[in-house]
Amino acid sequence: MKVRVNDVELDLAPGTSAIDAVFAAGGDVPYFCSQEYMSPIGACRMCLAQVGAPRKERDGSWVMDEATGQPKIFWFPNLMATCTTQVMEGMVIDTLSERVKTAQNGMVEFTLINHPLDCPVCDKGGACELQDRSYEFGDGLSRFQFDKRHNEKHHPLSDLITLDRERCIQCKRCVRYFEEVPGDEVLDFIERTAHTYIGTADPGLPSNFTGNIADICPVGALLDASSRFRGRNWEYDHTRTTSMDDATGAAIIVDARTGRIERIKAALNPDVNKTWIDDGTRFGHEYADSPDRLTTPLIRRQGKLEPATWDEATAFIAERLKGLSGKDVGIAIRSDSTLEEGVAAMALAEELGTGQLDHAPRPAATLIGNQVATITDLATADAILVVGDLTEEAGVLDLRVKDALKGVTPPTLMPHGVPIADLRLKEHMPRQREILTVAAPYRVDLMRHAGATVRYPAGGEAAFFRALGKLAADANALLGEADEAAAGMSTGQARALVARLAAAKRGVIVLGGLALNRRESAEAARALVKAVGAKELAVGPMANSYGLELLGVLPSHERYGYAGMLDGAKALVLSHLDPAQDGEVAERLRGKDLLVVHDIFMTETAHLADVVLPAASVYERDGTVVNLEGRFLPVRAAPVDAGSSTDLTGVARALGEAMGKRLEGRSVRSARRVLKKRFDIDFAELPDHGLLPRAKSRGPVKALAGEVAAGTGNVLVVPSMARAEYLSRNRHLAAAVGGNRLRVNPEDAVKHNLTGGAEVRLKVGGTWRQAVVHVTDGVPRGLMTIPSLPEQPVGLAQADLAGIVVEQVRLEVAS
Amino acid sequence: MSVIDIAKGMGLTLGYMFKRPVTVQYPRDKVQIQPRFRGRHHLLRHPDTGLEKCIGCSLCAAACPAYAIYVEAAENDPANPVSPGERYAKIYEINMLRCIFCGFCEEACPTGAVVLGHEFEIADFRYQDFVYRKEDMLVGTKGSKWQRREAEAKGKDVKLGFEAGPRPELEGVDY
Amino acid sequence: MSDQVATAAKPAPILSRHDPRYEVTMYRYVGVEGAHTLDFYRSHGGYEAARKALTSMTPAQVIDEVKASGLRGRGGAGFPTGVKWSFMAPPDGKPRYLVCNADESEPGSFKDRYIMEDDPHQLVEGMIIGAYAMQMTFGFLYVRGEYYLGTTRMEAAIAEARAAGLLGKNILGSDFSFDITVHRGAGAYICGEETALMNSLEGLRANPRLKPPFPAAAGMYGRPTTINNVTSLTSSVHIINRGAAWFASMGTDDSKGTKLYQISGPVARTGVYEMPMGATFRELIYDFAGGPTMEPKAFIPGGSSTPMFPWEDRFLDMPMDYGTLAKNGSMLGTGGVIVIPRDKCIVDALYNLVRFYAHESCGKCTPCREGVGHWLPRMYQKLVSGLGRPEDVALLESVASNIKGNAFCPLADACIGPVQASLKWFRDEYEYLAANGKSKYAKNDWWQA
Repeated sequence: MKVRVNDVELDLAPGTSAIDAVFAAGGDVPYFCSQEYMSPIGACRMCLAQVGAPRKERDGSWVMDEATGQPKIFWFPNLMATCTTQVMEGMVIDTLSERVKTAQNGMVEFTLINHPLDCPVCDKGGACELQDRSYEFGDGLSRFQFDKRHNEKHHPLSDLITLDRERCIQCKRCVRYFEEVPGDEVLDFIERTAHTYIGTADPGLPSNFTGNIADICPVGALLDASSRFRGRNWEYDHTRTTSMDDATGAAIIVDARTGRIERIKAALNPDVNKTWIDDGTRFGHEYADSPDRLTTPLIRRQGKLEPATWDEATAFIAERLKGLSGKDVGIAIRSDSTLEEGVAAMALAEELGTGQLDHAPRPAATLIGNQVATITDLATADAILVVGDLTEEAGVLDLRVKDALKGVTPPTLMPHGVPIADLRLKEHMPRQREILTVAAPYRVDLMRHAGATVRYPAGGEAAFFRALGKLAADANALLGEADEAAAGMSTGQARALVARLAAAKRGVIVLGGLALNRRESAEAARALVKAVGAKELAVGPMANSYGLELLGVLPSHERYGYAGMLDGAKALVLSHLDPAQDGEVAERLRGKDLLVVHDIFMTETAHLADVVLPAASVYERDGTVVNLEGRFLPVRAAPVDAGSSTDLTGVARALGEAMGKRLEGRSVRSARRVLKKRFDIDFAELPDHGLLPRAKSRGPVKALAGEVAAGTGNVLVVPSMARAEYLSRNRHLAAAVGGNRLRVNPEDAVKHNLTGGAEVRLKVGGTWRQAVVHVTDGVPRGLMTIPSLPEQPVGLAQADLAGIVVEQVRLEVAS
Repeated sequence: MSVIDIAKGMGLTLGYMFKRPVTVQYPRDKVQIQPRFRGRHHLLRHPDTGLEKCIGCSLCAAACPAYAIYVEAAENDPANPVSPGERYAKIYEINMLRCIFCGFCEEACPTGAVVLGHEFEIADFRYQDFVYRKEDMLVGTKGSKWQRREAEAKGKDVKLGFEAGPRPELEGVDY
Repeated sequence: MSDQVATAAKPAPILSRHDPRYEVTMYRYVGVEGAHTLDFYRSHGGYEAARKALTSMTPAQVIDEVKASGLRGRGGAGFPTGVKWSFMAPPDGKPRYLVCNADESEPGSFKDRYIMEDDPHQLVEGMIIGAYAMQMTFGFLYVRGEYYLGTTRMEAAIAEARAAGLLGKNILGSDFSFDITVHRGAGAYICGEETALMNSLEGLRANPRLKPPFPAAAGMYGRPTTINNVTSLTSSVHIINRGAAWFASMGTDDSKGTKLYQISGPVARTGVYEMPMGATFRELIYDFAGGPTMEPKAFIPGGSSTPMFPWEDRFLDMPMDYGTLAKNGSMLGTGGVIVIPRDKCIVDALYNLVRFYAHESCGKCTPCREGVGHWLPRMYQKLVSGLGRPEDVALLESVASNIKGNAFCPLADACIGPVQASLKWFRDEYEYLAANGKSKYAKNDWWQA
């Protein structure tokens, strides 16, 4: 479609908005209300331009201009908001005329009459769209002689978001965001005319995706409460990196100042998270600046851990290793270690000659299925089955599932990036809920958006998939009463679901940790995937679970896995793992000849260690992660002051030097040389949005560990957006999610004498867990749920319910 | 060169013998400086409420060509505010060794909180003593760190070695 | 040859209520005791048009008849009703909605109120005809919240009609089914805008929606919807009853039929008058309303949102139809004529009007929210309280021109039209007030008291 913007001729796809035509032509119009990936509404009236188009005669020929011999341009009488105008064949857009400039200037003046000029104290100052646009398109002075509207300056919308109602320019981005992106309609305009303000019906923002509104607010009205007044925008060091909070690999920008992480913002990755991240990713960084971070190595001397230098620490380890056989050493790294760290661990294991190498947590089944869907596949799927709690486990996937419900394909990128106004998106779009089925043992958030929901008994994943598999094999099969009860659905329901998946051209089955942590359920699930011809998306427990499995940071034999080495190895090197939370394991660790702990805090295990090495947090590493769709994503270190802490490649280097060796993973660079040989990808040059290689380069999968979770228990360990191990140090996030929540059915609460809001301690498995009781009918009777830990993966666990210790009773504020 | 020229020159020299000397016997005598002299910074307070004028906006730090200023802001406790409004400077530091006394910070300040005063006797011995913090600059603090240290050791008042005319920007500063 | 004969034989159109051929139709039973009951309505020929349409005409014929009648939307914009009806996509078995806009909130308009109060069945019949023509499955009647009596009468009439088989399944023995729900608005002028009305009906905030998609493609709940004014629908009753030719025999070339004109202000008999299109303002003001009771200086031709005219013969003798008023820089709107007396300060009058619009702006778009909702009323307040300065008039003009045409929906223009017209015709009053601090005509010193 030929369009002319000022003097630039363009050829655009039909359906493009005029504002995108202007930007594609290298022009500029100001805008506040339009936002990438959201519906254009034409509310701010900033993007006005003079628009004209030729007309056709009745016979289909153009109305010609006598003078020029060209089709005559009929100008629209009013200036048009380009964000809501669709381009037409032959359209002419003029953004430079005096009339347009006057109108834009007038709109800037209108916007500013009620906007306070407190830019010096505003956290948005320096990165404010209104500030920039006022300089570019405004007159520099106001003719408004009256009082500005006064309103609340500091309204805490939630523990995470602060609202300044005076600064709001009513662009409606946040209101539309909640309706369109997570589908949680928690915010709306209240009042009308110049008194219009943003507010909620009830206190708080009950959504897992609230932080994004601070990113999209064009002014400083909605602000990240955790970074309030921490610094000015020009003072931050911005690091574009990948989130290691969950397995989706969302793009983030880490803003640090004077060696501290002050805030995290979402970055753009059109194929993964678009521009949205969940609150766990955004606000779950405060632990990295905790004052109790380890900054120097510690060595146990005369039974006490004392600070030492790295040279002393590595010499100590090398000395102690000499007395041990290399194959008695176990090395385990946490699953959010980078690929480069994985290489370091493998090099170390190879040097020692040990097969006792593993990453943990690791599900019972492989994450690398045969038909791995991409996240874009999920967002364009025509039938989706989700097993598990996606909102908590992988927030980005939750949002992309909701994209699929809109039935709008991801927009094509334009020369200026993501289209500013995608006219296919509308406010209050109808959603095709019928394509989504959500199954979980308890009520999960995504069920609100699903056409069909299944609540199977806890631990019944295998039965659920087997029932579906039975109907996939024979559509006329009947499930017995016992099977129906075990699968949580009737034969009819199951048949309808299988039929929908089988009929779908782009069906996707999303397997959460609950489905993956038991081999029989994963096998049944994969059989179903194959039977209905769908693709699968397996949600790994941590950021790089997929990558470390792909790389092969795996034991040489099943019995040398993580669980096995805690028992069998004489010496252990543990990176970011804290198995000693379990009292029995702690006993076993005490008997080890050498225990090296590489972690960021003095964990339970670190207290037992012979050597503690200070580790780099996930924000301080350079490296690569592979997300759940198999996409290689770059991780870059933010400038954080954490003493002499280092990632695992640094440990490999120091240990190697102490042993007189130059190990392959001694630095990120050297590890990347190994990785290049392995994957044929130059990891130093990895683009921001990552690289999704062809399926064939997915390597062979080695050994698998045994069952992770037991098939029975009375507490279901569930995934949580806020990482339980760091929650006590994430002050703002902890306040927002209400701590580690032990969710209890009202009847069970009465039975066990628990009140909502009470702080309790209970022993789950062998681990004492702190939790806050949350009474809800979302969990079935006889089942409690508690957030997972890296050492306590999702699945059923046995808890001592009689021995729950109530530490503090507090009244829970009704929400 | 003629004799007359020499006589003229000598005459000028002789003339100065009967005028008051320009040289000041500093530190015995006080120096007269111009009101607009730019010396050590003052952080001012609102005279009526006593609240600090500084709102911790960091614009002085942004304007500083020598990167001599470091500001860290925090939120006011509404019951017991440090400055009017929501934000105040929790940490405000100027490194006097880096400072070139250009006065850009004063120009950038939206509230007139930081003003370059008349004090110039800030020589000291250790690097850290040149980093002036809020308490070293808030209005009411007289003298440089060194002068105050000396005065305290001797149990005397700080004695400043200059005199200057009033400058309206230095609201509440009393030399 | 035959054309000439036809032209010669064609009678002159009825342009005035003084024409002996003229007969009141829509307001015939308004004010008659007991006219709101089904018995009364049926005994006076009610529901015959619906019967005729449903039993002897196809939906397309009904639309063609309305098209041929030249009926234009009576809500204000004057879009041909038949054309609007023909925009609806063919039925696909899913719901499609007819919405009757009875949210009569425009100051100076009160024509629908009496139809709903005294002749509700006429509207029910009109909705049945409209619904049949477009094969609607359900109807919504959005009544202004303040019309309490109208709402109760409409609800009673709908219940009566339902009981009599005139609404519900298989109306009048045909296979057409249709029912109506009455919704009371919550008192927002913006709900007169059709997309805001739909949002309000859906339970959302009453903000206007983006067009396209137009309601005919995706309206209520994303389904095809047509929104008509009360009198557009009631007119269709008489068009079906008497034929398109009868309706087209009245009015001017571009506006056919009869219209309900309302008159308010200092005239002897304010009220609603049904007149053929093309009657002049003079006829309305002098012959029917009995002439002004105070010395007039201006009149608003069609409800508060239409730009005013000064009291001059060339405007008074103007035929009241859509085209003529548009040519003269105003609009017929709802036909609510408001007479402004000379002694009323025009700035004060506009202050009153601007305050109304400032209160009613929905807050969606910037120029309307900040300009109409915040800045203009303050500028007027400054002027009328005598604190204005001479340059304020130019500033007012400039602010008004920044708003004009740049807002999202017509509400801002509805406010700016009268402001600009008053500046055009009565600039001297503004300037006098700004320069002297008191009004040229009125003793505007209430602020000193």
